[in-house]
Amino acid sequence: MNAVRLVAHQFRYDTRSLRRNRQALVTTLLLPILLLVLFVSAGGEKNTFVQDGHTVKAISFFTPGLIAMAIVAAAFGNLVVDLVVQREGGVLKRRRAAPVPAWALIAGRTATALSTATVTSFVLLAIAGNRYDLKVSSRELVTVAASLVLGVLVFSALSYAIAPTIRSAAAIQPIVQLVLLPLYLISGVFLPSSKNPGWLNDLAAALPLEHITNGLHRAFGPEHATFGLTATDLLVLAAWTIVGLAVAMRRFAWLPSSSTTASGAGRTLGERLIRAARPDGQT
Amino acid sequence: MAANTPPAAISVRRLTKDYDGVRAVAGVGFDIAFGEIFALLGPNGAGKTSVLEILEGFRPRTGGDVAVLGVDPQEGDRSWRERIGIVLQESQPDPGLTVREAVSLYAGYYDHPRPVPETLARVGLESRAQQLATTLSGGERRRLDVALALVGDPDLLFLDEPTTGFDPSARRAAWQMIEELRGTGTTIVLTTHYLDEAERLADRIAVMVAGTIVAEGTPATLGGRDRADAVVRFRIAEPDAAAALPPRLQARADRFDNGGGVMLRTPTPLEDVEALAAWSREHQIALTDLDVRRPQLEDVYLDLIQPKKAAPA
Repeated sequence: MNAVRLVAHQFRYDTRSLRRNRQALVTTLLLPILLLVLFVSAGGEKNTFVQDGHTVKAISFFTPGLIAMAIVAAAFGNLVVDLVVQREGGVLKRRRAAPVPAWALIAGRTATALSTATVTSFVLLAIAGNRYDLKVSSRELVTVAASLVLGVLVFSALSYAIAPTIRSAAAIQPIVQLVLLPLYLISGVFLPSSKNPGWLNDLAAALPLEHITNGLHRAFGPEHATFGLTATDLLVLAAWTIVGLAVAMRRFAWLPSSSTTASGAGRTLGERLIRAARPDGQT
Repeated sequence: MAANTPPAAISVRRLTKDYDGVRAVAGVGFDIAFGEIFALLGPNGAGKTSVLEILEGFRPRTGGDVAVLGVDPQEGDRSWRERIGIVLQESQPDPGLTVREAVSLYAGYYDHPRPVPETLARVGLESRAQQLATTLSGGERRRLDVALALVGDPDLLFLDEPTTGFDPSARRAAWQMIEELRGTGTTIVLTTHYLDEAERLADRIAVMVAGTIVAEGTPATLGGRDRADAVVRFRIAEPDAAAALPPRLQARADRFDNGGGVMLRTPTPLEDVEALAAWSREHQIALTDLDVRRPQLEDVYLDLIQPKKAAPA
């Protein structure tokens, strides 16, 4: 079976599973849409925001912000939950017992996150365009497409990197929320970052999400950038993707943490199975 | 495959496994032939799971030699995994998929899978095909686990405690399924806590205690079971008559209660029962509750896993 067919196979079933997961549909689809309607309605549609020195209407501010949120919800919030629950339930171990390469499982699941974020983004754009008269042209779509791909890559990599630090399904929500809510607040998803103090801006600039929101804001703002992401944005996103992948290669475990003894044998195994470590890794 | 088929499906020599310097597996060795059903028994913490996970390629070993289908599990690649099926001790169903979809998902991982309907039929889940896997009962989930391991048409199947938590009828159904697999020539490695399960299914049993194999044999011969004394029990209607038993029996007899109950330990139960019957007829002494028993596998097992006292000769 060739690589593309194997990834497509995994994608098909992961997507089907996700469609039947109500909790995932709430966080990846319903919540961004609900927030768009609420945020735009709450201050009144005439409400304006200052983003990057430009005054923009509420819908022009929140649509790009919530597309960014949709990316994070699909490729991080939902993915981390899936990885930890399936790891602890032995599902990942069972899949690794079959002759399917790790990269096919990861690529298939990442494609599922991409398709989820894409669907949510287009629903957001459809609502913004039809209900709130946001003008959407093919120019904005280029930036949206690039943000979807780059954002899903960086946050999927970070999901595989952070999943090993969460040892039980019960610990997922506190950890994920602790990361995500502050990240949304400082990265121009819910609030313009223009008025933040310098240290907060520096922090946001060092993290990946703001570089996605900024790129989208530039595309939907008055400057109507054809390609909103700057070279700096691309560099920061690439750096976080590489860091995430490097940590995931070293740390990601396919076995439940309950089967991991004090020596971390399961972890060693995760390294082995992802074929990152030396193939002769006899301890 | 036929050309370089290794002599044994699994060959283990001087296998050791340390966790943080603590030796969990201390020099284990055994061979499992193709087509054999091999059961690994032992109390919790004996090292069974470590051995199994090393054989399955999930855990690196500390020392020794291991060949599974002729391959070192640590070097096992996709073509090796194609030939192996693994039923894990604990695993949740794949979320959000029906039974048929779950089996189809795993079928897609193999180059030459068994047809999905045939696999479902083999584990008796055809009628559940459209049902979400998460809604199955415990026994049905286990059968789905077996289906996921069988869909690749493996030569070698690992079953880690396949019937733990089952009710008796589900256990019998599972046994029947495993016996049918034997008929297809699949080599099976089984761990279990149930002695009756091992006795019924296994061609050979190894008992592990504290990281080593303390006994290995067929269910009939394990731990010298075939050579161990049988136990003959009976009750004599007139307790005082027990003193008049023939000398041959007297020497082996033990009173086990005051109501005339007598217990004999004997290597020759048939001869002793004949002598007993003759004595009873001759002296007109009625015998009741006659019971001749070979040592049960459970007796042998419990004896094996006892912490050893002073080493016997």
